[in-house]
Amino acid sequence: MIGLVVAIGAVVAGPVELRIGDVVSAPVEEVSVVGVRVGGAESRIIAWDAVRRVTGDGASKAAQFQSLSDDAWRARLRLSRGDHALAAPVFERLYETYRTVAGPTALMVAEGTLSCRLAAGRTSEAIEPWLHAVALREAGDTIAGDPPLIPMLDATTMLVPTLPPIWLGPDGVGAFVTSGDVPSTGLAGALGSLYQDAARQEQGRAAALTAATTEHPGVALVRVIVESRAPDPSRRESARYAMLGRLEADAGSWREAWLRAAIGRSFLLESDPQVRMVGVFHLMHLPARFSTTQPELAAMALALASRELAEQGDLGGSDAVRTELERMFPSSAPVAWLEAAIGPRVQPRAGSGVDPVSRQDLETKDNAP
Amino acid sequence: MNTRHRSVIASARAGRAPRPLAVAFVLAIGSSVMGAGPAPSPGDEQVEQYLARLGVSSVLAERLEHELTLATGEQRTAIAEHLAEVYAGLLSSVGADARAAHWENRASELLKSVPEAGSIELRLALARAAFVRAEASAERGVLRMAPPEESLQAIHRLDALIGELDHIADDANRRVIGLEKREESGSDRDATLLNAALSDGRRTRSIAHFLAGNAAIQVALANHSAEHAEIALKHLGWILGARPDARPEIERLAEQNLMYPHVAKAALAVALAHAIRDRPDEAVAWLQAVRAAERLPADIPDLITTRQIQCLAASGQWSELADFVRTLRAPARDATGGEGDGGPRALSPMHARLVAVLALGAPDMASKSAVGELRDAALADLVAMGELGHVLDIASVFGTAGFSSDSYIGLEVRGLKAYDDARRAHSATDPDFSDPPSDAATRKLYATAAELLEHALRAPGADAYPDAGSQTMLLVGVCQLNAQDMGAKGADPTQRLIDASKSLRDPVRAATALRLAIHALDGRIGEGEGDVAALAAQRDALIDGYLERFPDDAFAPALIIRRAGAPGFDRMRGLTMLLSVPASSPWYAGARHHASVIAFELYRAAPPSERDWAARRYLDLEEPLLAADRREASKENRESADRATARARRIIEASLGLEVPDVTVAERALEVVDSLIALGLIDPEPLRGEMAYRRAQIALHRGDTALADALLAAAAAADPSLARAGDQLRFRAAVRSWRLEKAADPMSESTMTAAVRVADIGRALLTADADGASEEFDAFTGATCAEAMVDLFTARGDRAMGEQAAALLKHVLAGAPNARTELHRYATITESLGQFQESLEAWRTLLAGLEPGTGPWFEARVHHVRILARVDPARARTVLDQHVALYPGYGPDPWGPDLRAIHETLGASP
Repeated sequence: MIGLVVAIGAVVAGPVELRIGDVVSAPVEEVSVVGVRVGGAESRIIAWDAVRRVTGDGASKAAQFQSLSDDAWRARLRLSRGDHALAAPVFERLYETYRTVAGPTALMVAEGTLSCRLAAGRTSEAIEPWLHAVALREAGDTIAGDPPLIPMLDATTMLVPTLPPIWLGPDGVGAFVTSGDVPSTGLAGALGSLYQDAARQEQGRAAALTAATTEHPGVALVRVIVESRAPDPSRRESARYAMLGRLEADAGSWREAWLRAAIGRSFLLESDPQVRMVGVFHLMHLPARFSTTQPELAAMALALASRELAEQGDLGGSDAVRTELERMFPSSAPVAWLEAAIGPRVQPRAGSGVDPVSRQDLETKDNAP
Repeated sequence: MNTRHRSVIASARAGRAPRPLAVAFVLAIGSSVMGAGPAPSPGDEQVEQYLARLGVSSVLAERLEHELTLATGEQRTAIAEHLAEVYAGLLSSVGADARAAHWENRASELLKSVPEAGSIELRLALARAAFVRAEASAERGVLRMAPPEESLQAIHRLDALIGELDHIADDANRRVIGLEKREESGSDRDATLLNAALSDGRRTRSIAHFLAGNAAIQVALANHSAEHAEIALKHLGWILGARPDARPEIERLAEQNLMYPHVAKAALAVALAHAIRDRPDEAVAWLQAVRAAERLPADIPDLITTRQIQCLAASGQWSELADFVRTLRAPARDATGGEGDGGPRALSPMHARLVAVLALGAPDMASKSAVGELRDAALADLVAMGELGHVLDIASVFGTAGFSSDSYIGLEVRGLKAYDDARRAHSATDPDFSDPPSDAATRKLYATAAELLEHALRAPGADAYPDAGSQTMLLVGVCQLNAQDMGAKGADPTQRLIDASKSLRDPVRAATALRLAIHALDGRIGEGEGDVAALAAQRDALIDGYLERFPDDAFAPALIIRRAGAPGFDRMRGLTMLLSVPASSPWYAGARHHASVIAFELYRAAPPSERDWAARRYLDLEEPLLAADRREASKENRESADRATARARRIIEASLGLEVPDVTVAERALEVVDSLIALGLIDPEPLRGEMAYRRAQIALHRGDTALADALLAAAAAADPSLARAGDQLRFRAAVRSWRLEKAADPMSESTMTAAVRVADIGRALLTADADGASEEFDAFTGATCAEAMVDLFTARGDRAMGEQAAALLKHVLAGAPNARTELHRYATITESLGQFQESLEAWRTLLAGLEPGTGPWFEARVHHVRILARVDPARARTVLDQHVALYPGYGPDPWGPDLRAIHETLGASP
C-alpha cells in the first residue's frame, strides 16, 4: 500500500521557510510529494503542510507542490480549529493523492481524513485512512509542527477510541467488509483483518480470524471482542471471561467502554433471558458513564437494551430506554434502527373511545423537509 | 447498593489471586454463563442509579437474581437483601399492570427462598402492589368496565389483603412501641438514627392501616357490607387521629391535616363507610368537613364529587343525587355572577360514567324520574364529550331495552351503535381510517349511521342537550364523508360539519369539524362537482375562518402553508402568515421553507429601491435552512443535498445582487456547494459554469480582473449561454472602476487605461451582439462605450477612436433621437471631426427639445449658431437677427456675450 512513493526527486540547495516563520537552513536533499527532505545534522522530511516556501535552487521544484502545500496547510488549520465541515473536502482531495504515499504529509492527511470521516459519521469509511495511519506510524512517521492536532490514535494500542470494531447491524458496516484496500502485513494488516472479521460477523457471516496472533495490545483487544461474538458459546464464554477480567484495569477508559459494549452484545447472543439481561446491565454502563466520550456506543447500547427489554416483555422499561435514546441522541442511526427493530412508537390516541375524528385529519402534505 | 453486599464482595475480591485460564474453565462449569458471576465491577453503582432514574430497575433486579443463583453463604444473603430493596422499589413504583404481577411473584419467590430477606418493607411493598392491582380492578368493577369475574376476584383479594396488612401494621406497631421505649429510656447514643427509625416505623404502620382501610371500603362497597365498613373505619382511625381500634370522630379531625392526600382520602373513605352503614348524616358531615377545608391536594375536589355520588347512591337518596348532578351541570357563573358562556357544564367522563352506571343499576324502589334524568344527563354528557366508547360500552352492559325508541338518547345510542359497526368494518380494510372505505357495504353502514344520528338530532328533547347535539352533528358529517361514493353523489357533509364547528364549545372538536368541512370541499373540488370556482372560494373562506378562529391550533400551520402558497394569494400576507408559525410546531420547517421560497420571489420582483431590503429578508430566512439541509446532506441524504444546492444558488444570487455585494455570505454558500461536490452528493457538471461565473463576480468585486476574466472564460466554456452574461459582467465592472478613476482625476493615465478597458470590452460585446448574441442593439453599452471613446479621443487625439464614438452615438440616437446627453456628445465629437452638417443637425435637434430661454437652451444656441456661421453665414445672421428680436440683450452670461460676438462677426451693428 505504501510501496508506491511518488517522488520527483532531485538534490537541490536552499533554505526552507516554514509556515510558523522559522527558516530551516539545512541543505535540501530532495523535494517530492512526500515532503522536503533536508540533510545536515538534523536530517528529516518536512511535511508539506509545514512548508511555506523553498528558496534558492529548490524553489522551482517546490513550486510544483505549492498548491498541494497550501491545501495541506489549509486543511490542517481548519482541522485544528475543529472545522471538520470545511476541512473535509480538502482532506478528501489530498487523500486521493496520499493514500498510497509514505511520509509525514501522508500521515497528517490520513489522520485528518480519518478525523473528518468520523466527525461526519462515516465510520466504516474511516477504517481505511486509520489503517494507513497505523502503517505509517509503524514505519516511524510522526506528525510535527503547528498547529497541534488532537492525536487520533491511542499510542499503546494504535486503535482509535471512537472507532471500535462494533456496529449496529449490517447497514453500519458499509462497503468496508468487501473493500480490498486493507493492508495485508504488519500491525495494520492484523488490525485490518480483525476489523473485517468483526464486520463479517455484523453481516451474519463467519469470522475468518486469519490475523496473526500477536502480543500487541491493540490486536489482543480487538481479537477478544471479535471472539466474544463467535458462533460457539464456549468461545464466547472464554472471551467474556477475559474481558471481565480486564474491566478493573481499564476502568473509566475508552477500553472499558469497548469492553462493556462487547460483553453486553455477547451476552445478548445467549438463550437464557436472565443472562441476556446481564448483558443489558453491561450495555447500560455506556449511556450511564460514557455518553460524552463514546456517544455512538452509548446510543447503540440504548437501542440494544430497549429492544431486549421489549423482547422480554418489559414494554415500559423498553419505552423508558427508548425515550432516553431519543432524548440524548435524536436523529441518530440507532433511533432508526430501533424503530425498524421493534416498530414505530405507539402514539397516544385522542379520547378514550372509538371516536376517530381526530385521526381523519387533512392530508395536507408539504414537500419541504 | 446494599453496603453489606458490597463489603462481602469486596473482601472476597481482595483475597482472590489471579486465576489462570484453566482454572477459569473449571469455575465456569458451575455457572451457566461464565463471567456473569456476582462480583461487582467498576461503575456498577453509577449504573444502578442511572437505571433507577430511567425507571428500569428491572434490569438490575434481573442481574441480581442471576447473581443470586451463583452465590452462596453470606454473599447470597447480602445479594438477597439488596434484591429485596430493588423489588420493594419496583413494587412501589409500578402500577397495576402485568409487570406488577410479575415482580410481585418474583418477590414472593425471594421471600420463600431466602426468608431472612423478608423485611417488613418488602412485605408492605408486596401488599401494596397487590392492593394497587386489586383496587384498580375493583374500581373498574364499580364503573362496570371490567368483567364481573375479574371484579369478584379483586374483591376476594382485597378481603385477604385486609388481614395481611393488619399483620404488617401490627408488626410495625410493635417495632414503634419498642423504639419509643428506647427513646424514653434514652439508652441510644445516636438519637438521630433512633428518630429516623421511629419515623420509618410510624410511616410503615400508617401506610399499612391506610391500605387496609381502603381495601375494606372497596369490599364494603361491592358487597354493601356494614361489617367491612366498620373494619375500614377502625383502620382509617389510625390516620385520622382516633384512639387505637376506634372509629374516627369528626371532632378530632384536624382540618390542617387535610392538606395531605392520604388524610383527605381517608376522610372521604370514612364518609363512604358511613353511607354504607346507612348513616347518611354522618357521611354528609365528613364530606362537608373535607369540602370546607381551605387547603386540599389538587385531586381531592374531584374525589369529593365521586364520593358524594357514591354516598347518595349507597344510601338510596336518588332524588338528592339528581339534585346534586343538576347542580354540577348548572351553567357556570362568570365573575359578575352572570351565566358565563350560557351553556350547561358537563360531568367529567368518569363521573358521567359512574352516574350512568349507578342509574342504570338502580334498585326498582328508586325514583323512576330521578333515575331516568340521571341516566339521560350522564349519557348526553358522554356524547357531548365524544366519549362514544363509554356510551356503547354502557349500552352493551345494560342493553338498550330501557331506552325509549323515539327519545333523543335512545336514537343517539342506536346511531352510535351503527356508527361503531361502520368503524369496525372500516378498520378491517383500513386500520388507520386514512381514506373513506373502498367497499360499498361499509359506505352503506356509514350512511345508515348518518341517518340514525340525523333522526336523533330531530327527536323531541334533543334541544335539552345542545352540546351532545353539536357532537352528533360532527358525527353525522364524519359518517356522510365516509359514506360518499367517489363516483356517485351522496349526502353533502359540508353543512353539518360547518354547523358543528359553529356550535361545538370544545375548540379542538370545533377545529376538527371545520378541517373536515374543508376536506369535504376539497373532495368535491377534486371531483369537479358543481361550480368548482364557487366551491373553491367557499373552501378558501373556510380556511381563512379557520386561521382566524384557531390561529394556535396544531393544524393551522398546515393550512397556512397551503393558503400562503396558493396561486393568487397575496405573497406578502402569505409570508407574514408563514413567519408566524411557532418554532415548536411540527410544521415549522415546512413553513420556513415556503417562507423562503416566497421571500425569494418577492426579492426578484422587488423594485430597485426595495431590492436590498428584500434580499436581506430572504437571506435571513434561507441561511439557517441551508445549514440544516447541509447537515442532513452530510448523512448522505441526496435529497437534502439537492435542496441545499438550490438554496446555496439562490443565496449566492441574492447576496451578490445587493447594492454592496455580501461576498462573505456568497462564499459560505459556495463552500457548501463545494463540500457537497467533494462528498459526491451532487453532480458538479451542470453547476460548473454557474459556479465559475459566481466566483468571477466575487473576483471582480475584489478588483481581481485577471482572475475574473479567467473564470468567465471557464464559465463560458462550461456553459456557452453564460458568455454574454459574462461579457456584460466584465463590462459593468470595467465601467464602475473607470467612473471611480474619472471622478478622482479625469485625465490621469489610470483613467485612460480604465477607459480603454471599457472601450475594448464594450466594443467586443457590441460586436458579439451584432454577430447574433443579441437581437437588439444594447443602447446603454453603446452610449457608455462611446463616452469612453470620446474621452480617449479628447485626451489622446485618437481620430479613429473619435470616429468609432461618433458611429456608436449615431446608432444610439437612431433608437433614442432625443437623448440629450448623447445628442450633446454627438454634436461635439462630430464638430471635432469636422463633420459640421452632422454636428449642426444634432445641435438643432437638441435645441428643439429644450425649453427656450433656459441656460441649456442658450448654450445650445451658441454652439448651433457658431457652426452655422461656418457652414452658412447668411443663415446664421438671419437666425441671430431673429434671436436678438426676442432677446435684445442676447441672453445671460456666458452665452449672451458669445452670441453678440458671433452676431458682430457676421456683420451685425453693435
